[in-house]
Amino acid sequence: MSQSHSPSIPPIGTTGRLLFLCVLVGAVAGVGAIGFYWLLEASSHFFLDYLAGYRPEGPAGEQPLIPETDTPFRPWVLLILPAIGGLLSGLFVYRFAPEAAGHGTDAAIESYHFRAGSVRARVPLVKAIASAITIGTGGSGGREGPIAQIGAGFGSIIATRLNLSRTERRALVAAGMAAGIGAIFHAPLAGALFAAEVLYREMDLEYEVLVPSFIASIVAYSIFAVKYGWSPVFSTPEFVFQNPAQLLPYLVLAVVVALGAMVYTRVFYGVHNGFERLKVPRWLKPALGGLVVGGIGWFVPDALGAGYGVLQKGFTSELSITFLLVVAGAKIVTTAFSIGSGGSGGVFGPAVVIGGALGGAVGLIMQQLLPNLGLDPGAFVLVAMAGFFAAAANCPISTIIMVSEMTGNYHLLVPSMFVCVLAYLFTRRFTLYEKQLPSRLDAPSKMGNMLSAVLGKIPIQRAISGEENFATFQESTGFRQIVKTYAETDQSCFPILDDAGKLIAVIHDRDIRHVIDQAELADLVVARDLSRKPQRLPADASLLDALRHMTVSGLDALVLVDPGDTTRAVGVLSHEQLVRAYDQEVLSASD
Amino acid sequence: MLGQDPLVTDARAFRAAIHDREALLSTGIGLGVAVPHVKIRAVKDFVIAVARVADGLEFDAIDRQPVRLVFMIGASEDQAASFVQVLARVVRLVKDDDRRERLIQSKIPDDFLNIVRAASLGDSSLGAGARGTGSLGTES
Repeated sequence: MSQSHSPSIPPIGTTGRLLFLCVLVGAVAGVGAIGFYWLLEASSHFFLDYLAGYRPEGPAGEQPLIPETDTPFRPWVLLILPAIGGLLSGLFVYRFAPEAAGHGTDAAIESYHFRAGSVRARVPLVKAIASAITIGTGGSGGREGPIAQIGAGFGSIIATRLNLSRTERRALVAAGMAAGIGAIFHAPLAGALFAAEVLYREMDLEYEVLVPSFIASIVAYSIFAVKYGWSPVFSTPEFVFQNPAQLLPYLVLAVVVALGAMVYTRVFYGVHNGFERLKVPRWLKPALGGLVVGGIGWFVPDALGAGYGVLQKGFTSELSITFLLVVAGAKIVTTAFSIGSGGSGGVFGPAVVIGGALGGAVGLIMQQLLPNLGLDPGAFVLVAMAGFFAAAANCPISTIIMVSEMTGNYHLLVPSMFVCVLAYLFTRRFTLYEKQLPSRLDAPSKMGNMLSAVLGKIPIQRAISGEENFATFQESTGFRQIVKTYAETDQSCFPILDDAGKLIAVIHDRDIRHVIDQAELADLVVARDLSRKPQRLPADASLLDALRHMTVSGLDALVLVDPGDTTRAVGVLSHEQLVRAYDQEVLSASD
Repeated sequence: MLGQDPLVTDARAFRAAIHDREALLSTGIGLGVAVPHVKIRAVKDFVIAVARVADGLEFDAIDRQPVRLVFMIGASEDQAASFVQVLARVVRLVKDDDRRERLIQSKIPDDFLNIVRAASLGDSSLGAGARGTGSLGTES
């Protein structure tokens, strides 16, 4: 039995090193997630509990790390807390790492696509502290953005320290993002899929980061769960889907969450762009945003902070339609002003709360309209959490898994798939993540690789097929003959052979073009006067080799030589022929 | 003369290359003018020497006439594009009968250069301050 080694598969040592580093990234991100979660809890405890006496309910799977205080509820403190948080966060972020402002997932995506995976070493720490301040003071933001940027930062730092290649650095950045999300949401599979899926807007996946992301996510999740428990974030009733007729109200849900996601995206970027144009110091903007958030929070406290308590109650249908719609609307605005103003936090957390609230309202309405279908409004909350974010972030696959892992409930996979895919299709032109690229074809990191891959597979012989005959000169060939031959052929270069037929020089068409109208040279110039040293390329090389030769030499034509005898010219290759062969290869491979 | 120019690193190779080039095709272009030239690694930049031959020199020129004015030109191997341009300028310079005769009759290098400048060709190829060096000699 023989073994072949494909050149496209890296050596086992390289792969092994990368996968080992993924374990390291996962471990660092897992510890980082523990630290970030503790910071969030400590910040919320101090600002919301100790100062404002506000203690929103959390999800059933997460218990408070610090015992609650007995501070009485002070609504006026809650009114100003988000502004204070915005001020502290703004001062801190814009002093130390301005790139840590806003929602971190977009920053991680930008780093992956446009900065070769480079993240400054200080970003994870600055992001963690700034997000803890923003969310802990009542700002409406989620953990996914910060932890994505923190994890990506860890991956980048490790790659930089070890002087890894750009490809390896990007893999570790994605692995770090997956690890952070997988850990903090108790969702290791979804974290890995999210890191691969969130990079693109269309139906595309960065498949090469999947295995690194799986490894890092498993490690980070395990470390985080050892510290904070293995339960899912939410506790849900045993929802079931056993009646296909229920897909009709789920269709309505898909339309509602798609519309909601569009509104969410529009409002978020409307506010974000408004703050961009606002002529005040940028460190002050999160505080101004915080004032609006505090004002809304005065009337709807559930629109502050993470807001997961609303979902927990929604699963058991404890909330009214009006309340759910108000929370959804208010949360859209508070998120836009908290994060769109430059505060630090994610948009996934608020999105699932908004989606879940909308879903709960739709579920209750549908239950009243279609009482015989056995609908459970709590199930609509769960499905809508996934559907809303799938639509807003163009991540249907990872979101379905994410919500299932967060709730520990896989019984609603069918309606979740149904709603997520429909909502995603309805809103393909909208995205919360501006740095997402349409598809892998648009990725700067892929373009060079794709070009190389295509050119590397095309033999030169295919490029010169049908044009094997070529003109040559001798050193003594006169100017008139050179010009005549040049006019009669399409050749870009003309080999000059000695009396024995061996290649000794070459004339390029541009050297003829420069003097073609100078008739006075007719009796003076011979081929040797116009010649250059020949760029020789074995005729069995690939077009990629040819392109490299042309690029290095600055010439647009090469003399092809016998691989066994480089003094024997067997053809010429022009840049035009190279491009034509490339185009034909790409077109023949396309639909 | 050019063999002593610092831009020519190997005078013997330069001379051999000039002879080798003449063997391919005489550079006697007629009208009493020859333009022996070579593009070779032993030259670092353009060098030009001009010689007037009072009694004329047999050069196997295309019109079989003896040569009275010689432009010897050297260039480095990577000056392929400008090399032939310089040759063309020299040919244009001597094509005019009156100017050619004045060049042959000029007594001192400055006279010669003034004629070249007046012909608006005294830039990078022939004039004072040009890249490379220029020399004017007389041979009898």
